[in-house]
Amino acid sequence: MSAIYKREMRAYFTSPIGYIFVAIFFALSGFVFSFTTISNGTTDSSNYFATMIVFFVILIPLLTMKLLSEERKLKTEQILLTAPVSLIGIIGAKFLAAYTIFAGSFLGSSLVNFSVLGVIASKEKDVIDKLSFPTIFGNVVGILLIGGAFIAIGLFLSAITENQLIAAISAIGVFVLIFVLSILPNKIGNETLRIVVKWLSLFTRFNSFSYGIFDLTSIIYYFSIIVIFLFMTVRVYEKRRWA
Amino acid sequence: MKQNNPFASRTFKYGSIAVIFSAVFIAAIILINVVISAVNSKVGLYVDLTSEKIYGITDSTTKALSKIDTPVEIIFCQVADKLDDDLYLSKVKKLAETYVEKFPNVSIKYYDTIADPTLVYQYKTTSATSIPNTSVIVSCPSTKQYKVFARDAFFTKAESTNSVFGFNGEMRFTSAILQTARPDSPIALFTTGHGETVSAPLQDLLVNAGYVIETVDLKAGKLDSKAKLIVISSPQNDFTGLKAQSAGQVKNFGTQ
Repeated sequence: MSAIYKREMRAYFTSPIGYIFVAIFFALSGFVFSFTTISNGTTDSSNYFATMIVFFVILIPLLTMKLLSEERKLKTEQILLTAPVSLIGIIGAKFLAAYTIFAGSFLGSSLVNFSVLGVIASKEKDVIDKLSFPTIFGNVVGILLIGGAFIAIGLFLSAITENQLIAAISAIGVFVLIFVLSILPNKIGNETLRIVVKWLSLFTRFNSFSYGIFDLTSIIYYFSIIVIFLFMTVRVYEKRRWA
Repeated sequence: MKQNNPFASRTFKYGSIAVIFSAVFIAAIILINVVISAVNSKVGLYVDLTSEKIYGITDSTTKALSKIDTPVEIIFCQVADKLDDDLYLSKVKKLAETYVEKFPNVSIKYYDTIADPTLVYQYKTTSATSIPNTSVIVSCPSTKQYKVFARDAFFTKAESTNSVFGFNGEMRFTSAILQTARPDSPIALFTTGHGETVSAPLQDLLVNAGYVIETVDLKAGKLDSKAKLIVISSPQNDFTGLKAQSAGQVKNFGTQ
């Protein structure tokens, strides 16, 4: 598993995709942070985190589009499938590699952003006092979980096609659909249907983290999405292995 | 010619097992989520990360409300899930849920006032009064006392920018529950007739502390026996010409 993980990590940085992703992520993150937090003169960073999620709709498919589709196109998946590694190991390693790039970029850019805020606010002790680190921690955990869920979905979509472009576009399509699902409930009159749609919405689930609540149900929900999509990816490959 | 039965094929057999296995696995995960959501609605499975612990209840509230066993209702004028979409009302709702968890006599009701506005008509002080669907009502059916709050009442705003910087939900709920549940709420009397300046922040402070504000002209009437406080706020004239009865009551106030 670690061999595949290392190979994937290397692949990100031997091609431009890893650098492009990290560069876009840092630029967008800084831009969003300056507009939602610094220029507003506030220490409330919940808008920063909430806005970043919207950008994941485009950013995360960049990471996941080639993970499995490229293997299939280049016929290297035969080598993988016959390697002495379990399917869970293969899928898990690919997921972890993408997740490492994502989490590293997010944590790195957030560290830079909050350091800048710290420097700006260093002359005003009250501002530093108002920085709620537990709330920031909650938001970071929420972002890492929702990012994990997006990567798992993107990985699954990459497994069912051999074309990187189709994998990327279908992932963007699915993420947009998920985003629409979070706006849609306000238009639904039927209460039961509205509650079900909200319950399923990845974006709506993040609200509790924005409000400063470390919600166990949302954490378990995000883990469930990750596990379900990784499981389905394994099933796709299980089928392909014996086909 | 021998015809192959598709249901007896290897593909169907192993394919069905794989589909059933996948379905059971996904159903089990959904079930876990449903169970945890159900548990969460009974016992809040969350940690309040806010620095002021705005979703929690302080010991002062626990002490003040522990003596009250009269049923009190916190009424929201929207259905529960719609409140979650409102950044501010979701905070009020979360705090109200904490009160329900902690005090068995407190309950929450959600009225869909858009579908049926008549549900809150009984809480209108006059026929011209309107109760927006962002209002929160604290009502005690047995004492027939109630308080209607606008959403903004739960928040402190900066006067210059009008931006929200504080949440005073606990103070609002605790004082409202005390005021509505106690049939004999303490009265704070503000004297009038001597050019007194009424201090609105002081009155607000007393209301939040559970007092009912009343005014009294010491020249005319006698003091209400429920009065616990007399406030003489910046009088312009001397307190002369008081009736003997009032003067005696003021003199002995607090000694009974």
